[in-house]
Amino acid sequence: MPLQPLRDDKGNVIPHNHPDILPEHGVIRRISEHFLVRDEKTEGQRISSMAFKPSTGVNGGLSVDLKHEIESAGHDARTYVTTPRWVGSVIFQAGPLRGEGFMIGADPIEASAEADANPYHGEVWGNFTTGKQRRLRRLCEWFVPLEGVSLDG
Amino acid sequence: MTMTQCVGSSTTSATSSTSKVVSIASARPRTLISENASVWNEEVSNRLQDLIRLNYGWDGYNARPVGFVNATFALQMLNNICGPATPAPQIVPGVNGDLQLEWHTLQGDIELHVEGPNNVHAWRALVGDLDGEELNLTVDFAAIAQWVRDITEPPIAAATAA
Amino acid sequence: MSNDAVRPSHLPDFRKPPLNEVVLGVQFSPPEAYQQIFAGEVWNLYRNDFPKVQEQPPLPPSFETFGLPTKSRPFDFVTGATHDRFWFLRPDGEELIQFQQDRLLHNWRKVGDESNPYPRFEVMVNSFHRELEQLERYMQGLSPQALAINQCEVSYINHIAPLNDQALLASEWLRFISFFGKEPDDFTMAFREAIYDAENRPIGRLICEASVAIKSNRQRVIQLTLTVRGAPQQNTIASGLEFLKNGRDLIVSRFAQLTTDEAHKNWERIK
Repeated sequence: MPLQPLRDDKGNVIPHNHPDILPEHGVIRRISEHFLVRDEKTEGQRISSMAFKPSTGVNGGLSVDLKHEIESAGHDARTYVTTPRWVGSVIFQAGPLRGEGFMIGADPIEASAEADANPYHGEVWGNFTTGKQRRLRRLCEWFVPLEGVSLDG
Repeated sequence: MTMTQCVGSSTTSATSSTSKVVSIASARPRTLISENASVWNEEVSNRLQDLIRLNYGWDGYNARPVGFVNATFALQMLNNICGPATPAPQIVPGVNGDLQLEWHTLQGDIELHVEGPNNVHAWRALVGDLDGEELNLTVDFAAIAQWVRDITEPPIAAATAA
Repeated sequence: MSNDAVRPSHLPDFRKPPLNEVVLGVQFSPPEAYQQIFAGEVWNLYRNDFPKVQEQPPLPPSFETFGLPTKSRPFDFVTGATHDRFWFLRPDGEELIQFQQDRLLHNWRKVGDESNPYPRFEVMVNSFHRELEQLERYMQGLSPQALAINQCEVSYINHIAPLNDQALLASEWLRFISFFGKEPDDFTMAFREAIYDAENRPIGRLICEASVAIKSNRQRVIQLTLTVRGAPQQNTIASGLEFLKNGRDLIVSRFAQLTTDEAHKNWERIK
């Protein structure tokens, strides 16, 4: 059974730190090819800060996939986050993310006309200042790496 | 007060009585400003065209395509920032219909996050400056024009070195 | 709703101004959950007073921004489905509301034999205020949101012509044009001035366009259009209306500065 989030009385997910997401659990962020930029300084590509900007709107956060939940359901996490085709992904540990002041919770997505279901979808909530967005890039490592793309910058 | 030939944009497009007057056909305004083709204009327009047509969920989650109004505002802003020879910025979509214009050169980095019309968060860092500086802007981008020149034009010393 | 717009006493005033059309307008971010199929419901908000409808091509987004000097470039993005611009008209056609998914405008114009009097800005802006609030309430019914206004525009379109069969000489009417005795067959010109807020930051532009034109009764006129366009201080209806009022003040003052004393006599200037 996927993690159930905290909801308000209208059923909307509200920011929370889910107690079943342990500090050592992996938090995966998919990296679309549209998030890649070239940097003359490295003569290669790296990930734009836009990959670590949260969504706006009520209770908006940074969309992620919860690795432990994916694997507990019997799926291979690397296959899950690249099916259908999603180019790459990075992974954080929940503990260091919370150390930066972020909350990590569950936000399962039901199937709709626009998107498939994702019962292992989670959110990272918090104050995404410019400095923190840049530190996020240094807190993660490749999960499904993209050849020639640096995590530095 | 600036005096500029206003060519190509009609302020009367919202009027309703244009059918009642006929402008003299030969009175076509001539531009007094030389028409230089911009290096960046076509590349930016093509990229924006692609981004406003992204599918919902293009990021693997629930991202929306770049908003048409945001793309238009970004292009308008670039007209106020870039000279004809300025290299095109890289354009990165956001998940909320927003977008970011980025330059990453040997001299430094600039990121212009267009959150919406009249709402731009600008950041830049010259090489060696890890924190950089930030500005929140609405309609005046004169400062950013200088930022872009600072990192896209060759340093004077390098240009004049023997 | 109280009629709280009062004409500033310092503004120039004329008994017979050459005014032919006035446009008040705002541009806003397309509201969440709105689709063109709902345009009929928007018309229903105003239909009692504006029972006729016409369709027009849409207006592209428009922004006044500042930095390096720039020539206006057309934006030719293609997004797929586009939203028409709808005109909702009074039975006599004297006033109309223009609506598309990111714009609302209110026009008054001379019609027929052009004897219909101008209702004055204060009456127009009060009507426009009501219309904006009606639209915002409707959009809130689709999704919790306020209209996010990002540009405002006020235009005064004047048709200048001699009262009798005298020749139309631009320098007799406009201070900023002189052809030194050799009047051309026609002319077209435009200029723009930046507008600044109290902290000397640019917020918009006044745009002046003048050209010779021919009316449907074959009368030659000088069409003089003054427009103020720019971003309101905040993206609210109240701030948008404040921009329009300040824009009107600027236009009326500038109109008096740009036109000649002889013209003012013709138009019976009273202030």
